[in-house]
Amino acid sequence: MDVTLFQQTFDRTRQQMARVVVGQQELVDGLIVAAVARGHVLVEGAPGLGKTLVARAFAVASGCAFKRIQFTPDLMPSDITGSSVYSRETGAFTFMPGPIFAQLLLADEINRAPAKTQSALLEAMQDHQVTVDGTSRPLPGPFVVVATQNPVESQGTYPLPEAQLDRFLFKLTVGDPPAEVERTIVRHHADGFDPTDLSALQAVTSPQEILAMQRLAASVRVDDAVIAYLVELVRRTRDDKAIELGASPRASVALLKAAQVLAASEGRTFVTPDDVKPMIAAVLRHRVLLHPDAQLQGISADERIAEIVRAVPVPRLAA
Amino acid sequence: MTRGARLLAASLLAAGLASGAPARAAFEPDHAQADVDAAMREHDYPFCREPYEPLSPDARELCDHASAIPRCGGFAAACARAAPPSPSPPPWWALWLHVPAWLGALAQILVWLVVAALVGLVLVPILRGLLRLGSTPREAPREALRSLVEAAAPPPEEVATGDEEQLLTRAQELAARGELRASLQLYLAASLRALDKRGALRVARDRTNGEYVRACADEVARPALREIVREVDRVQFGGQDPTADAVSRAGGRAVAIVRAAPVALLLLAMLGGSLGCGGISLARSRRAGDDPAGGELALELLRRQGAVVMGLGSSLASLPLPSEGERAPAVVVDVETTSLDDDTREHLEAWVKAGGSLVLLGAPTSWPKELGASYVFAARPYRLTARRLLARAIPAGPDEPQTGDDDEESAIYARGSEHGELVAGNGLAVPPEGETVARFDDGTPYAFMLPHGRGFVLGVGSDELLTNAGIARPGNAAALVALLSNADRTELRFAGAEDGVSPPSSPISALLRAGLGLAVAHGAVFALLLFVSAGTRLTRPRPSAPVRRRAFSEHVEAVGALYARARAAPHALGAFARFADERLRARMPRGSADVATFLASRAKMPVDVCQRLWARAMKARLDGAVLGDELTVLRELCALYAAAMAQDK
Repeated sequence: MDVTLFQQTFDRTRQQMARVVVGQQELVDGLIVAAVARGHVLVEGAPGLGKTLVARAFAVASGCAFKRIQFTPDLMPSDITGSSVYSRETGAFTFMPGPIFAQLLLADEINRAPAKTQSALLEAMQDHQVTVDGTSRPLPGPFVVVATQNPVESQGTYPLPEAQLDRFLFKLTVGDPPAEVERTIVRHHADGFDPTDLSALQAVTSPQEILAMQRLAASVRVDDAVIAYLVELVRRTRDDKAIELGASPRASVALLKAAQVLAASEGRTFVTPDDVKPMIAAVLRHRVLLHPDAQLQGISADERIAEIVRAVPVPRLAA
Repeated sequence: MTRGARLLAASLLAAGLASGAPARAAFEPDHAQADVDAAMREHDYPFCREPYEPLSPDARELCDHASAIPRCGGFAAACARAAPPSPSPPPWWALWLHVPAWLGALAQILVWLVVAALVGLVLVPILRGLLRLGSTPREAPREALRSLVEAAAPPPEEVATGDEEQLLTRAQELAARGELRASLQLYLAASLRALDKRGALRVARDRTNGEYVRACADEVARPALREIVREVDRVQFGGQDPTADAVSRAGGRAVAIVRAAPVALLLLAMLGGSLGCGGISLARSRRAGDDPAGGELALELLRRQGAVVMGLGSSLASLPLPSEGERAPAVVVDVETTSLDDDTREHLEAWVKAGGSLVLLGAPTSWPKELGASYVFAARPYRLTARRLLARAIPAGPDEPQTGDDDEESAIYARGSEHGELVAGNGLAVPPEGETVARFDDGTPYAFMLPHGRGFVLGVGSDELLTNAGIARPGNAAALVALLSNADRTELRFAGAEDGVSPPSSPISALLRAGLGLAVAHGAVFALLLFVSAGTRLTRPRPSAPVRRRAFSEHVEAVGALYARARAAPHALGAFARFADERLRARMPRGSADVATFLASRAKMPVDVCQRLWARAMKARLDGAVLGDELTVLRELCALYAAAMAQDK
């Protein structure tokens, strides 16, 4: 695969998803970039904004196996990973794989499950494998977790621990669509669109192609100046007075990988600061912990990140 | 002194001055025509030979002089060309064509609509630009992710320094030397600088090249900028070496961007020129003295006559009042060109009263009302006879008795009179106190001299004698000289067109007077709205930092410092003694009354020490006298009290 084919595949996937997803372009692009960058996406938004539809549309368009888990307080880790079941016939334990054995896993309302259950995802997200009864079982590639959470309802929820949050490449926030987009959505439904029936979509790529795209993105050239730029951006989050806990080096790596995918999606074999900047907020917003005073003052992580971006000069060609 | 004696004194003074003066005195009508001819020869004023055309309305009024002036064929021909065509009967179809009145109103509305559309065409891009500054630029779907971080407002600008032309030149030099990387960077800098100057984008150090391209409001320049950026990115981040061809292409794009504005301006200027807006250079330019209604020849004549002729150089309303006995220069005001406002008229009247000499020319309706002059039209032909003043009586002082011999002549005139001819018979009705100094052949006064206070006014019915054509007519120069000799001054100050307006009292009144009141009001409302909108944003409540609570020890220290500053140490000692006294007595056994002994027993200290300290504290409590040991006693007493109270624990 070369960059041109990469760009074409990327565009084809986007266009295919756009057939059923109206608006939510950031979410669509973020999901594709995350899948190619071997990352996972945490989506925060109120119910009814099309989060599940986007995930399912991507699964269809990319030909990936799709599973969905509705996280509830009584969900057990084995409900996710699977467990060994005793078979009377054979007199032995047989492993019954859980829903995590998919290529696109939708973890709906992930913060409704307790930390123990959430942690069941940690190994899968990081190492792309699951260990049950002492046996590690690899997950099929590509493996993408799309977790959703509701920002409004806080009762009966278990906020994701920092370690878990750090595993997500992006945190994408989904807002209300503009009136024009909403009218189009309603018009689609009036014209007979059924969100549960995505038979109109066709697979325009394949898991193998996505794996190839992953390999190509990893080979996109990154100049030292760009690395210095993105590292400086991440490091500044650690020195910011309004931020109690800054982003980790894992954030720098995540930013790099996302920028590489974006550069390839533009048909380039090298990364520019222009590929880094659009990814910063999505990569960093869930990795920084605001100081309580800043939270009380109503300062958001996005605001602080934007301030940091403004303060860091973009590398220029030395004259 | 009688008026006759004053006249004699003035004559003697004039004779004395004349004897010490050069051979030729000022205002000699006999030499006037010769002076005019000499001036015409020397300066070759073109108003006669080749006047500026089309003739102005004022010049056309002077056309009757053209035939009477020698060698003035050009003026006569111009007059013939400027003569209005004889009214021809309306065409047959005009009789049948009736234009209803409402059509005019409709046309006016259409004109205003066009004006509004033009204003809208100008304002809409400006407003769009302003809105674009405050909002995220609309992006293509591919660039949707970029908005994730661009939602926040942009930072303050950091505009690159250096002129874009200089940058361009330097880039070309570097490219010629083979320093392609540096050259490429300078091409980009020059382009950004030019676009920033033009307002098409905003240069800031945190903006990426791609952001510049996307934010570029100049649709024409954007593709060129994208090309340059692509090349720069390829070299800087792609690790590729720049090629001469690519740099040359980028240079071409940069030149197109940098020089786009000047070229556009040039095109606009050419367009304007072709439409006649800026095509002044194509029209014939004006030359000095080419207007028959101009005043160059008259001024030259007066100079040659020995007068000191100057412009006024200040507002008539701010002329300093002459002091008693001062001979201020005469001020010449042509009300046809200098319109006088009420304040100016009032001041001029006061200035004349204080001893000034004022020459007023033109319609008397514009003169100060106090002069009481009005129009009278003479009968044709408008031949003129003017008297030349030789000497005028010195005005009586305010404390001199009036002798009743006012019937005597107040001035001495030359024996002969000067004759001229005008094309308009603008005569004047002379006020009762006035004295006619020039009249038409039918007896209608043309000019009069009016004493007013310590000064006087020389009123002249028109400014015709001050025009080039008017003065060039044979005989008129002598008439003008004779006329102006009545001003009794050889220094003349001519008021300019704007000198009749009194200076404004404030910048606001100046704007109002200039008719900009509505614009100022609109500006003020706009400023208020801007202030309110910006102020509203700035006054958004923000939580203030919580006030740090002071510890109790700090409070005690602060109170102590307050006592020290107030020199109230005895009061502090007394207060502590009262506090200790109350608490110790509450613990004393029934029947005992000696607090000091009780304190000593509780604190396990010598009784005499406790008694001494306690007595000192009680004394401070009673009289408050400053002895200087208060703080020491207070410290020791505190220690004793603390030790005594420790027994309770």
